[in-house]
Amino acid sequence: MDLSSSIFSDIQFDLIGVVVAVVGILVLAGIVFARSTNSITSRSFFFFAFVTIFWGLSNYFLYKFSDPELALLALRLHIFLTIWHAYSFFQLAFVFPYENKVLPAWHRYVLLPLAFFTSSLLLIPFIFKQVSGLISVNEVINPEQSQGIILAAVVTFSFFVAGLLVLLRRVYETKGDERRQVMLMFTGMSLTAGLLLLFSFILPIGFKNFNFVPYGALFIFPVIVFTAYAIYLVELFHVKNIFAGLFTFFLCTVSLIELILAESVEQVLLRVAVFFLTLIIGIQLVKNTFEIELANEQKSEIMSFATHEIRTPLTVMRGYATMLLDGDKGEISPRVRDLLQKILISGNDVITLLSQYLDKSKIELGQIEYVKADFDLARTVNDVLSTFQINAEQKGITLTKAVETKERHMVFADQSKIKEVLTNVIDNALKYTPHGSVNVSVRNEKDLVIVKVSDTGIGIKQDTIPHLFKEFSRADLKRVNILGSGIGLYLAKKFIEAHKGRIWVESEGEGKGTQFFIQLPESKTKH
Amino acid sequence: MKKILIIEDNKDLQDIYRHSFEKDGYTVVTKDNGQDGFDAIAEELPDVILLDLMMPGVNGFEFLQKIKAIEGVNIPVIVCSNISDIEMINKAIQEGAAAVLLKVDYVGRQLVDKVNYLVEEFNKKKENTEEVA
Repeated sequence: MDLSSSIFSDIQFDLIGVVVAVVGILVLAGIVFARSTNSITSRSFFFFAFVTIFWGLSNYFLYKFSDPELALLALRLHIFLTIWHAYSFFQLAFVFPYENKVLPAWHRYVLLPLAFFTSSLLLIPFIFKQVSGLISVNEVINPEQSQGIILAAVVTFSFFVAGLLVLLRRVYETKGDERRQVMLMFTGMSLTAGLLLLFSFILPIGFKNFNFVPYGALFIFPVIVFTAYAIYLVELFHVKNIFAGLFTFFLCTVSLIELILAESVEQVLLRVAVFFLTLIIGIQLVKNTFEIELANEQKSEIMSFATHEIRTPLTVMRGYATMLLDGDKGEISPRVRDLLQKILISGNDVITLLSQYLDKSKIELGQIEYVKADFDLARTVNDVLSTFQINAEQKGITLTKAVETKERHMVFADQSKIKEVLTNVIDNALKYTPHGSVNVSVRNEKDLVIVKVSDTGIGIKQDTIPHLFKEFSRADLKRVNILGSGIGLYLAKKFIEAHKGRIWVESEGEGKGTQFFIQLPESKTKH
Repeated sequence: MKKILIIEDNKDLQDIYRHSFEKDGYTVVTKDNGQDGFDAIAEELPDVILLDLMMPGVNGFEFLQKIKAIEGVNIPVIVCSNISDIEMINKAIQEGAAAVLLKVDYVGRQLVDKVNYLVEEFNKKKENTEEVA
């Protein structure tokens, strides 16, 4: 006897399909609903998931009865759920991806009664007269249809098609991330709708082909997979951390399969307990993850708000100081000019510190975003250098550049972040160089663009170098009186690494100057 | 003479901006919120609008939506706010802002130069579109 074929014939693929689909959609609905109960999209998704679960179960039990009476009841219940499944599909498509969308009057007074009316017809023989003949368990039943089947078919089909058309229209109406959400949802839902329409609707009703009916639950997978992917990818329904959900899904599926395979009453009781315990603990885990996520979101919102609130008085302060410096309110003495410049410099320092702490908090919360585009790194270096020229002259430091402007040094990166890194490194070089020079060069090397900032400054001890890019690290606080957040280089490293680049430092020791290197991959676009 | 409509709820910033733009030869009209700013457009017909985002009543985003809804109005709206969230910046651009500036980055002459440059770019683009049409 072929062992493998005997094992596979024992496995009930249809049952496993139902279990996985039910648990999958249950966990997905739990995640969405636990996170946002107020959003109409979340509520509609929950409704859709709820109907889908019962639809999947009814599909499974559809062919589990040998008694014609029971089989007819199962069939009627299944078609009843099919109509509501199509309706819930349309409703979800209609409100997606909005948080607040009022369902129009025609939805409430035409579509809802239509679904009620059509599904109620299943209680009478208008749609299915009877299930004829003797049938055995695990065989798909062959019902005797009546005229009403056309109405049920048209209503169900219309809900599905209308839902897809609404989603398709939304693809063209939306932009950016929202559009990606709708695209993913549209793909998942259209695949599911297509499979359901073909195998559970057109073939059985139109062509009396029932071969694929037992696999009905499997057709829900596209929705589950694409929705889960969308959650992971673009924070659909504002959910980012899906791993707790996936973990719960996996445990629940395994424990439910174990429950199904139980061989004695004791085993059933034990495994029922294990299943529910897994489900409860899993949902609690998912809930806790959301609470942490929510707390992080609030923390980030507070940071953004605080930054905004502090920036406004700073803008006013800088505005008035500039007005006075420009002599717009009368002549000022060199002493006052000097003091005003100090006010401006301190103001600038506070602005930099604020941005750095905001960036740090965003990095820690995983909320930092990079807006990448192609640009010439040498030009950006020139721009940054020009902002330091006066500062260098005032300090008596020669700030030179060795940038071959004829050659292009294209990179694909977030220009503002790279600018911050360059500003930080050049600013450091000037701060730690009491006299002498700072030189900045840009060169192409293989597939890389390398910026080198070298100074003749105080240098760095060898044992300090490994700690330089850590948070709150400073080369040597005792030797120079320098204001700084201590996170500038930490952020520089994070930004550069996020661009698949590298930043490092070389110094032959104290008093022998420092060389900072920033290396970024060259843009792959031909220029 | 060029005319700028500044929609900004902070009186000190209104004062600073007025000073900087008047120095460059602009006629300056200031309004405290989006609604007053919107109502002033028809009467003042500014060449450019400098818009804050966080304001009481009609905020910057709502102002952008309102101005987008009127046909035939083609005035560059430059958002100048202290919000640095990428989402907010993208939203402002989507709602039709010609550019988004971080307030704290621009003082005095810098802001005027930037606005002049952006208006020039906007007008060039407008001329090109008209030529194509």
